[in-house]
Amino acid sequence: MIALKNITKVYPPNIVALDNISFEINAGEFVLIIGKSGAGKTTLLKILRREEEPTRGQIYFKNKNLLELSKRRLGEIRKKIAAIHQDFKLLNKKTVFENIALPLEILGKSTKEIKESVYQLAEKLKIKTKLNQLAGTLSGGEKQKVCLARCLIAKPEVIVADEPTGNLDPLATFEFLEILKEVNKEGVGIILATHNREIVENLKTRTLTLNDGRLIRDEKIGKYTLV
Amino acid sequence: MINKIKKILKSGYNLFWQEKIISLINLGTSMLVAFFIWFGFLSFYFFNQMIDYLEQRLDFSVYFKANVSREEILKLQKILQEFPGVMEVRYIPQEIAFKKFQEEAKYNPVIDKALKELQTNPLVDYLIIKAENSEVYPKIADYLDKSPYKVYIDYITYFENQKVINRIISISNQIRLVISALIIGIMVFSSLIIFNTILVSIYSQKEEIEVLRIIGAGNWFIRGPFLVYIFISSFLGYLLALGILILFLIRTENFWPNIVSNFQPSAFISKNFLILNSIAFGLILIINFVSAFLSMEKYLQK
Repeated sequence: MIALKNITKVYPPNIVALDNISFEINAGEFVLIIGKSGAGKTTLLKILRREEEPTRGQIYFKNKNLLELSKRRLGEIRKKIAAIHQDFKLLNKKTVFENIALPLEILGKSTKEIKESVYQLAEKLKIKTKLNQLAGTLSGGEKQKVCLARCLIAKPEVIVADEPTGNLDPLATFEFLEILKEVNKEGVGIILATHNREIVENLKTRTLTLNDGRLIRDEKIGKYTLV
Repeated sequence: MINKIKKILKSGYNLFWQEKIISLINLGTSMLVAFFIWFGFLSFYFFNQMIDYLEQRLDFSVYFKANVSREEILKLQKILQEFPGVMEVRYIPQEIAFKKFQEEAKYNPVIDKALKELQTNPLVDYLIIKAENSEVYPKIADYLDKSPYKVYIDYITYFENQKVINRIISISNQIRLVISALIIGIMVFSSLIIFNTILVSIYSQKEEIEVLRIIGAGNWFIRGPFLVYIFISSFLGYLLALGILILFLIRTENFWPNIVSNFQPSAFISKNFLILNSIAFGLILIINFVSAFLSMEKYLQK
């Protein structure tokens, strides 16, 4: 479903963030991207949603070259490839309800439809009691759940998560990963970048390893490929 | 689509109340521009009325040579009364002209004494011609120049008066030019203010814009609230300026005719209310939208 072909990203003056990276991800797959800080994980995830342009190479989503899409069409793609960030990217002065509802408002859904979807999702993620609270007043774990709810409400095909548990305590991390597994079981692909070895051991799923901007390993369950 | 529009309208309205200081600056700028545009309208109207007033007072007097018979003058009066665009042709015989002159000079002892010493009437018969507008006078002058009556005519006063009127027209045209330049200058200046205030409000909203982008909002969904916000501040600013202006004109209604009798700003505004407001508010909207759009492009293209 997602294919990266020979992606290279060079920042001025001559800092190579990604070096000739190619891989494919199937629909509904749970993929971990690991590597030390500065390995290029965040850049790779940004390029996956075309939040950044690669210096060279191509990105395909369902056989569509993202680099050839107009800005308007790109917005539609970003609804299909949702994103979760380590720093949550929530609107702290708005309520949890307003934050979760935002993607549906962009889609032009009716108030009734939005209310129903938000309540349903909040129930599922156990944040229903927090709906009227300001997002800024939540704990890290709760914020990340709100962030996930905001992704899920638009029914994405893939969720790209950049260090989503970076600001969470171990308990909240575990709870969040369990939710991600549930979401993945429902058919949503997950691409999760982390430098946390415990997550890798906990999830036991396909893992891509980056080192100094290069993809050095593609490790599938029971199958190990040195790239 | 309707839900999207509702959401954009609501966000724009909220933005107006969230960004109180910036809203106040935008509102004040719109008020300032509105005042200047209206100042332009009223000053243009003032100069038009002043020129009209002066032209109405402008007469065309034909002075005859001393030996011309009264019959000939009356014949010419009749011809000129039939002339297209002529309203009135008054015949002033030399005796009446002299009486009038004596009456006017009685407070000037030097002239009064000189007149008393005169044995004969030094004044001549003349015709005063009033036309519908000043464009008719050159045609009359042209006619007289080509007519057989030319030999009877000593001189025509119109040409001296016309020089003064032309000078007033030229000065008022220059003043109008200065006012137009001033209005354009104010518009450019206010565009810069709006450009920067919108940029500031975009920066203060950058967190929300970033989130909107992350979740896939299109540029129009991001621009929309700012445009609504600009419309609200422009509209309120304009309304306030118009209210103050109307109040001012009502209060000073009796003062203006003392300057130029036919200058009645209240009547001028009420007669042309729709067109003047459309132009003034339209100009403010264009300035504000263009500068808001440019500042948004500057930010969104980053």
